[in-house]
Amino acid sequence: MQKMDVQTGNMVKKGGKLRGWLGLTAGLALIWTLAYVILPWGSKLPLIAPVMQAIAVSDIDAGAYWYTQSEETAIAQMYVRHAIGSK
Amino acid sequence: MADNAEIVRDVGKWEWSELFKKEDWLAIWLGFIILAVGVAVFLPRPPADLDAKLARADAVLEAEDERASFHTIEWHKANDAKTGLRASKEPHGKTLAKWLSRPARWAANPMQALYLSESKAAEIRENAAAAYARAKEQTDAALANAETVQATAAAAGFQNRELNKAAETAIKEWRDARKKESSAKSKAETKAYNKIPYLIGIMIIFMLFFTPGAKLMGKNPALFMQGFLFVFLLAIAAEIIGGQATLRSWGFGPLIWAILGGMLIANTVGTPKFIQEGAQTEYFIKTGLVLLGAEILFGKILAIGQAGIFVAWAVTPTVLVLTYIFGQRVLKMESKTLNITVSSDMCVCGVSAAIATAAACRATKEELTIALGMSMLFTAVMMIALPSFIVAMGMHPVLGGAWIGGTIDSTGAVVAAGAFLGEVGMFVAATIKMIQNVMIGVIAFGVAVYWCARVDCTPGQQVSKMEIWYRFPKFVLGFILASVIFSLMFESMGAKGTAMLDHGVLRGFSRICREWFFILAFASIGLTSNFREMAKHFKGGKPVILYVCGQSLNLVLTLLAAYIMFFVVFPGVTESLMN
Repeated sequence: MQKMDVQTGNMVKKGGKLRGWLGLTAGLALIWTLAYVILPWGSKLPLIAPVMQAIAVSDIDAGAYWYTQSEETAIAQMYVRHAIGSK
Repeated sequence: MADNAEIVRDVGKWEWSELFKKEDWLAIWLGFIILAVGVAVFLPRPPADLDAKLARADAVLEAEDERASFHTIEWHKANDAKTGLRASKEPHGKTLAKWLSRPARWAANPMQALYLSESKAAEIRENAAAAYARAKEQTDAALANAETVQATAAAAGFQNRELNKAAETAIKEWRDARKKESSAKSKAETKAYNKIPYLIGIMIIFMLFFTPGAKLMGKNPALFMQGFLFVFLLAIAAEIIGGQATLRSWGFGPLIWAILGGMLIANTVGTPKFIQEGAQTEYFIKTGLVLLGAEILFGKILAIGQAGIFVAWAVTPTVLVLTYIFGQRVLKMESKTLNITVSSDMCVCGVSAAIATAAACRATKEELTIALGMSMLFTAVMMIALPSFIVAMGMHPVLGGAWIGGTIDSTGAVVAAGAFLGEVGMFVAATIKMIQNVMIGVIAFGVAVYWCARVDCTPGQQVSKMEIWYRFPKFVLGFILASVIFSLMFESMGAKGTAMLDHGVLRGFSRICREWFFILAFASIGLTSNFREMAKHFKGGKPVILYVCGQSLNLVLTLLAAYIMFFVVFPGVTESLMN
């Protein structure tokens, strides 16, 4: 199967195949290390642990990038409207 | 996304065939087809007795507001009932959600993202049963206590400050216990699932949805479908990685893994050539942006009154313009598109702002990737540093919440940081961020017009109105039109708008499709990006300097504006929020 090297726009040479697969494996290993070693360790640091605990307790999706993806935003909006509208 | 064969550049003439041959227009048609389907499915099927239930809840809320100076048990129950009225909870909404659902969250076993056996589900239920029973007991006890304490306060006509305070504390304890019970309940009611057939189904549906447009744009349909299959599989892999509990808590969601995963493949083993045909970044992203437009409901900017509007709508454009000028005049950024994309994602709302702005000014894929990567890294840092600092300084939760909402990029991180300040802090932070989200419509439109009229022309050149029209990225029209139509519908529906549109057509359908389209776009970006091109933009670390300087200005101005608005000009709003 022909493959394109996005850096050059040329087809990948056969000789670079092994290096490519090694690179891919290393990249995946890096993601695994981040998810299972670095970030869990970081989550336990004294400064970070309380915030991470608050996220875990409230089951917040910290990766939500838009307000409709966050259930908390809908509740917050309702609360705020009532608080400043009727009180 | 520019300087690439896949970009359709408008030339100085108009042809009617553009309406069905150019991706900008196709994105509009496809986006509106989805919105029309959503409207047709949800609007004729409201929850039973919706009007009566809303009226009943509103009557209780109003009566309780009159009765006590704090939110009573009855107020909370009525509010819960009102919040629970959602078209997405109806059978048709649940069916759609099931078909469109993404891989599940998981902690240790990635297979649980796709499949959970009945025996494993039973084991989870069994392990959670005792905790749920305990949580339920605590909620019942907390409610009984709250009822007793509130009755004492009621006996004094809610005139005794101490009794009111005691009732308020007891009610808060009940609400906290209820929240814990709800979390325990979801574990205790874990059901077995197999998402694979649904994912295959949705892949086929989306493939068929996008293929006719790809053919009209001159792509080979067979090659497009082959490539699409691979892009979709990469998107699923990214969803699985982004659903991991630790990564999710840090805010590193699926989008970043779609880009990184694609880049990893593209820059190591290489992207097979046939995939290029299916990796139609612009096509997916613009269709997603038209759907995003429908979620920009202008009525929402009034949610927290003038104070919120000022914090979100005065500071944000000021910081955007100043950061852009700083990037051009002081840092002398080589790329104006990178400058505006980074400036916009830093001061408006992170990922979504970066996507909309990059598409409006035709930034390159690498520029968008840089903006997103920096936004996610700095967001993770700020999500921890900012609330820790606010709490350490003993800052008022309303001030802290407004500061967080106005400065941290993404909504999820804002909610997470706000939660650290307590309920009021989180509510204020989330609401300010929502108001700021709405601004992206105006920003994208402004950037598109500015780029057509000023940037994409030679110095001193006068650009005619028709020339601006030829150059204008037409999908922005669909984006704005969707926003206007849905804003008008939302306002005209009154209280029903939240249940039927916000929690029906939008959150129950178009949003889920939009999330799919964005992740397909990001997987496509990754598969066609290269590290070397990206490294060029990092020369001298200018994007990082731009982000840091812009964010520093944002922090200072937002804090100042929040203080002036919530403590000097509108202190009554702060008082109401705290009550």
